[in-house]
Amino acid sequence: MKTILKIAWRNIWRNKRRTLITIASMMFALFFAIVMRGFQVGSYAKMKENAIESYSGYIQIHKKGYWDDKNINNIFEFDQQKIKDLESDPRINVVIPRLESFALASSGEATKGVAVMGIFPEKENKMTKIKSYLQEGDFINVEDRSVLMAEELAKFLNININDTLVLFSSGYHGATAAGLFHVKGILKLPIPEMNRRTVYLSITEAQNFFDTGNQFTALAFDMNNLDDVNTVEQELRSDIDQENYEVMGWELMNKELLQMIESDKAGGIIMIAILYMVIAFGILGTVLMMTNERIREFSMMISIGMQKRKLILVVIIELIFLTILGVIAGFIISLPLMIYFYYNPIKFTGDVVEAMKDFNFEPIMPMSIDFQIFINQAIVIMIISLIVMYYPILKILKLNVVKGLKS
Amino acid sequence: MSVIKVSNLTKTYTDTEVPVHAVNGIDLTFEKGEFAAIVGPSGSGKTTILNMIGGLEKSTSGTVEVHGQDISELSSGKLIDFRLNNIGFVFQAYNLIPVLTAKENVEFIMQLQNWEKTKMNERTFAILESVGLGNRVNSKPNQLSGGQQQRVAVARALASKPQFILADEPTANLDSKSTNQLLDIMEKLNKEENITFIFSTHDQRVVDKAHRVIKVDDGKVVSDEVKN
Repeated sequence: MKTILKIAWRNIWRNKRRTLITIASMMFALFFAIVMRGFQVGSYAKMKENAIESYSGYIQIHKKGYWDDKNINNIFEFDQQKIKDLESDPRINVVIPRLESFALASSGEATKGVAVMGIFPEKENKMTKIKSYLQEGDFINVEDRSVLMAEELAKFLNININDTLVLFSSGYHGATAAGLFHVKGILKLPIPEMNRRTVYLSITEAQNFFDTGNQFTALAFDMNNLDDVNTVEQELRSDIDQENYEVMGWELMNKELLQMIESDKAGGIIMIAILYMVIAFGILGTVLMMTNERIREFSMMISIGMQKRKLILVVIIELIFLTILGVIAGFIISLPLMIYFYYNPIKFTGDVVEAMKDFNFEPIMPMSIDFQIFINQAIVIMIISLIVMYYPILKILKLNVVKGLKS
Repeated sequence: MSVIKVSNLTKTYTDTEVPVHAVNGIDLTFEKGEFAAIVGPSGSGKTTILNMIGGLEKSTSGTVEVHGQDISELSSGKLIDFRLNNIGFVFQAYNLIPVLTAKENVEFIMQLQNWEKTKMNERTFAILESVGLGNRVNSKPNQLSGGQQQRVAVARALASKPQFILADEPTANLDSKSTNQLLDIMEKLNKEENITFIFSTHDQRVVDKAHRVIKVDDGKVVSDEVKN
């Protein structure tokens, strides 16, 4: 085996320039594929994180039918003790009651339709880290009669800290909901759509405003571990009266986002596939040359007593060496760049920012350094090499030794 | 007992427009320790005979027996093992493994035969010494002259002590000095190791050195002369 390894290793360096070109082609293919995939996976993860941790949570409980008809009349009362019991489950980080609806927000001459979100401020902060988005002013507490406004909405309404916001809406069972609220803080929210039209009130104020009593529109669950989501979701379903309530997981609540990610992912995969096709032909070219220029040598080795299977092993190991070198080189040049962009995500500027916000994307391009990305790309290169290996194997199996010696 | 017995051996190539009868029913026997040359003009069938004796080519009819075993009955895998354990080859174009040193080339067959390392080392150095290359053990083929490469090829063929050595035009690419050196070495090793050498050649210098000269023409043996 040692001899076989030695022959294989030395063989790949017989033509240094060709070997280096082959390794370089694998290296650049891997570099582009890994970096491209890293940006894709990073962006998807950021989108999911924004959607889940900034808004939906991993699981929500609503009154049955609420998700399809987000109406202030589709609300429910939930036992506070039951919420405490749920929160004592080590798998659950926090259970957040919310009261959400819509209202017309007005200041001076400007008016806009907004999403009003009644929250337990400190609890909400445990999941959405809402405090960290505070740009100006102070955070609210549960007794405050003040509001927090999204940055772009505040700009649109030309409102600053300590100004007064007018909210007008339809309350529970058609009651008129109208109120003046002191603006205590301005938040820069990561989801552009939310940043354009969200107003946060304390849950008590929201319940007073919409005249709902102690009722909520949703209970959002933040989990300690993503792996527990499905189990907890199933347990909640079996515990809760399904005639009156609905339990929804994050995938169902963010269906459009996931569909968008899937279609974008498919586009990325096509790009990478084209890249790999080019590389596959490059590797094939090298292997064709490495095989055909050594037909006489192969014939001699078989003549003097080397079994074809051992010769095939030499050729396979040569290709494995080439692939490993290409993969390592690809990892080495992509890793520093990925680490850099992981800590310094690309922040878009100019017109792109508005275009991305219109599609509800945060205008940044984060990088993922998930090891799986490296493994997957390495596996693709290995598979290409495995396919390419077929040629020398066939050539050796069909080799006519006498003709080969004359070649 | 004869080492090799060739009986009524024929070879006809049918993949040409007109069938070519390269070997036409030859009978030959080689004894242990012979130093024999098969001579004849180009296309006379000498290389084909050598290839069939070495199991590189299948005969159309007839048999090649080595120590009583008909090698034409062996499968291709078994034939490779048979060659590994019984035959040493010396080719016209040296055919060393270019990425291995002289020592590694000589060791190659012994490694395939799983020789014990110390014995293999001893044998390699001894055989390289006897072909006059004791000082070039770590040279790669491209660092050696044609004559030196052919001497390494002879050392490689002899190292594992095969039953016989088949040398196809071994001096064709060598100058006179290298040819004489090589022939002297092969004759010496033939005596020392008592290994049968069979050459195919049209080089008169080889014919002069050979102890037995088999002339072939049109695929037939036209004379078989043992020198005294």
